Amino acid sequence: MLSGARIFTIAVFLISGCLAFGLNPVEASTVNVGVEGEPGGLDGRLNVGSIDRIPINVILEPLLIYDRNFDFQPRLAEEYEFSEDGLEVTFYLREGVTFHNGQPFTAKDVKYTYDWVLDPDNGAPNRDLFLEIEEVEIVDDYTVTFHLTEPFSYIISNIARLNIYPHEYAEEVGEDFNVEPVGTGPFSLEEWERGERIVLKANEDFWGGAPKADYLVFRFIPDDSARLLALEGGEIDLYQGGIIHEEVGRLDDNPNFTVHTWYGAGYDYVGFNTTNEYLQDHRVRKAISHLIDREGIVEYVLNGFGEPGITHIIPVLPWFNENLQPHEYSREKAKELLAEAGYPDGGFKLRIHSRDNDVNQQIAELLQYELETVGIEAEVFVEEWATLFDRAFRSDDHDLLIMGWAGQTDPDRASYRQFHSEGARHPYTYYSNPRMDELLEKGRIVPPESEESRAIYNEVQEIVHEEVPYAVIFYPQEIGLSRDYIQGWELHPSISFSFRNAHKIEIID
Amino acid sequence: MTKFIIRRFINIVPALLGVSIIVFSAIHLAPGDPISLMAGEEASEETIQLIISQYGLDQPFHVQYFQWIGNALQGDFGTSIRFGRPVADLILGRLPASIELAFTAIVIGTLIAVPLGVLAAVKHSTWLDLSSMFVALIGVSIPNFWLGLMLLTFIALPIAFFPMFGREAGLWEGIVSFFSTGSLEVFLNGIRYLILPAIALGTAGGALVTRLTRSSLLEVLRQDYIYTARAKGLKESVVIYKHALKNAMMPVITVIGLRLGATIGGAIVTEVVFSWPGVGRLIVDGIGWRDFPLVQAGVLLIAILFAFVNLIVDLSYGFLNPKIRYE
Repeated sequence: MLSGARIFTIAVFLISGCLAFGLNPVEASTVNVGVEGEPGGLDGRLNVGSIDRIPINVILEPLLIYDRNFDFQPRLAEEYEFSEDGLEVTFYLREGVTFHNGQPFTAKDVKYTYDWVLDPDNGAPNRDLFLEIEEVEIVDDYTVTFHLTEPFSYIISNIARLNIYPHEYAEEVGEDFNVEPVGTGPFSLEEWERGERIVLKANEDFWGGAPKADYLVFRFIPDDSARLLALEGGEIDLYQGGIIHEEVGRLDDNPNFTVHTWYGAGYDYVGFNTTNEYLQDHRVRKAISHLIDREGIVEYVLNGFGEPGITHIIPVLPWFNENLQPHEYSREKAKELLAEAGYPDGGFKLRIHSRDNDVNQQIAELLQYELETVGIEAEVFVEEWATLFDRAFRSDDHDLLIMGWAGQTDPDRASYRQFHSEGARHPYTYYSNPRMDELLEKGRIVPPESEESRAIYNEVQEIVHEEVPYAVIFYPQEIGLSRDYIQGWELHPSISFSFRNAHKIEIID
Repeated sequence: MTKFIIRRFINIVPALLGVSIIVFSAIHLAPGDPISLMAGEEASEETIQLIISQYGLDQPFHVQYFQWIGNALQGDFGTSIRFGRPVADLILGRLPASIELAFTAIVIGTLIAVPLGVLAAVKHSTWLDLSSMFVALIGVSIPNFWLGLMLLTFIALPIAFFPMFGREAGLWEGIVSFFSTGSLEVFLNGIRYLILPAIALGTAGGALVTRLTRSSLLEVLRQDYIYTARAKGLKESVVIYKHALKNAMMPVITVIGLRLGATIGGAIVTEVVFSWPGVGRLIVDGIGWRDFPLVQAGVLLIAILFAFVNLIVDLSYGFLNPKIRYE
């Protein structure tokens, strides 16, 4: 039998042993980043979700990137130029860059990467972004020319989305690239503990300078509240996205934390099925747009972290049409428009399908209430992404869709898929307008910086504003949180780009 | 007894086949497919269809089922579409974490619950009974995720000893390391990560067991043989612990066993709140991505575990109650 004193001694011993562990200090040069989920794999040619691309974009780099002001910055290419006819674009590559396995980066890797993605047998989901590329020609070790089938001004924007893969190594490891990736980026993969973390190690030979931190660790914390608590407890040092708006104010007042905000690159919207008996009349669609209290939604649903929506091109882009105003929140105006369309007392039924996030769900409920004030009976269905995507994209079994777009970094990307009658996301609305098709096709050819380009997209926005295939609700703001000792981290409008410059992140005393 | 076990094993087979058909149909008939989700909004429908056919997902439903079940019977559960790794590796990699958590939760719950239940029954209708039942009622009523967040906020945040999330080396590695190096370091570190999630997970079950122990023991205490035992002049402690408790534990063991089976795969909420890398979270991720092979194999595995735990529970009755014979 153990005596009380002995039990006490053992307990003290055990507890002190435990406490010694508890005080395990954080390594000074490890930056822990909280992320919502685990990537499927680290081969970015096959894994294109934003969760996947966060670590991938630290390990690998594209020819160029767009920065947080949407300006292109050189990366593996130092310069590029279009030919007069717009059918060729030549990249002058950075010399002296090596992959993490020591192999030099050359034009062969660029050609290999694009050939691989364009080969339909490889099943690369992003292949559609590069269909205009007919051939990638190696001019010399450090010069490549892309030959295009037709001029496409925004090909650069797509090229900024494809990292360059080491041709010999990638061929050699095949599918295992998913778990043993090698790139030219500021950090290389050290370890991937399934379900827990991805550990990246500084690439001392990075062409942009050795990273300031020794390790960058992505830790998977799916729950928003738990992630915030982990930041408060100092177990993670920073994170972006999945932030509970109500909590931000509290952290903003605390000197131990830095709240980062930056405009986003997307918007949330109501998409109208224009083949619906009632919604085929653009006056009905516009009436519904006038029932959206955009200011109220930004203030109360987003806690101020956003701007009321006007058109589908975000206001920070030079193509944004400055003359347009948000559809004013007015039930009178909505009633007038409904009366013009022949429904003075409403008298019909619509379904609202919303994504299962809090913000969209609240908007769906607000809209349901507003529709009832003008005599339109509405039913709300909240669906998870897989189900809603299938509904929106593969069926016409929807009336009003509440969803969002992200990564709308140029006007073609923001318009063609959505509003061209052959666009990949045309089934969301079935909107079809020959003038729109003509404008969108022309927009792809004229130089992006030209006056003509602005005029084209100004008109595109006027049409969307008047005919309302989408009612844009708001432009959300990106929010990031970090501990005060983190420096050199910049929030990017696309979360998957926020760690491109991870070599600049450092921990200060 | 051997015959009984063999018969039970044979009975499990049709049950598992049934489970395989149900889970296969449910995930395949649900709207959405893994390829569209993975391909994202950049891909055109043509590209999506092309990849779907590369994965063989365009084949008729029954063809896909028989292909899958045929391979599964040979031990090949396929490759996860989302993670591009063999499903068996992914699940078995997560299983130790799940078992460890479920087991610890049940042990913690039971160690507190059974004595509390006994106390409540023995001190029937006293303030001790009332207050244990009040505690148990709170335990049953607290939602799992809320308790988890409260533990994080009020225990893990102020006390550096408790980590906020995740898992380091498992207890098993800790035991191995103890025998090879003589150091408890790895084991204690494992405990450090395990303790809060186990409390969050074990509370509701523990509370249920408390109530069950109490009511079951009360019922037994009213039986004739207990009066006889008392009339013989046995000490009250012998009456309760030797004569009554053993019989009263029968339903309690059934519930604990069933909970163990359910908890291994069903601790999803706790796993999410504490970022615990368990099987439940993996399967829920798999459902979100419509990762057919992962979900099918995961659910099947849980069904197997469940059947196995049930068998053990049934066998344990014989040890508790010699009247039960396995034929």
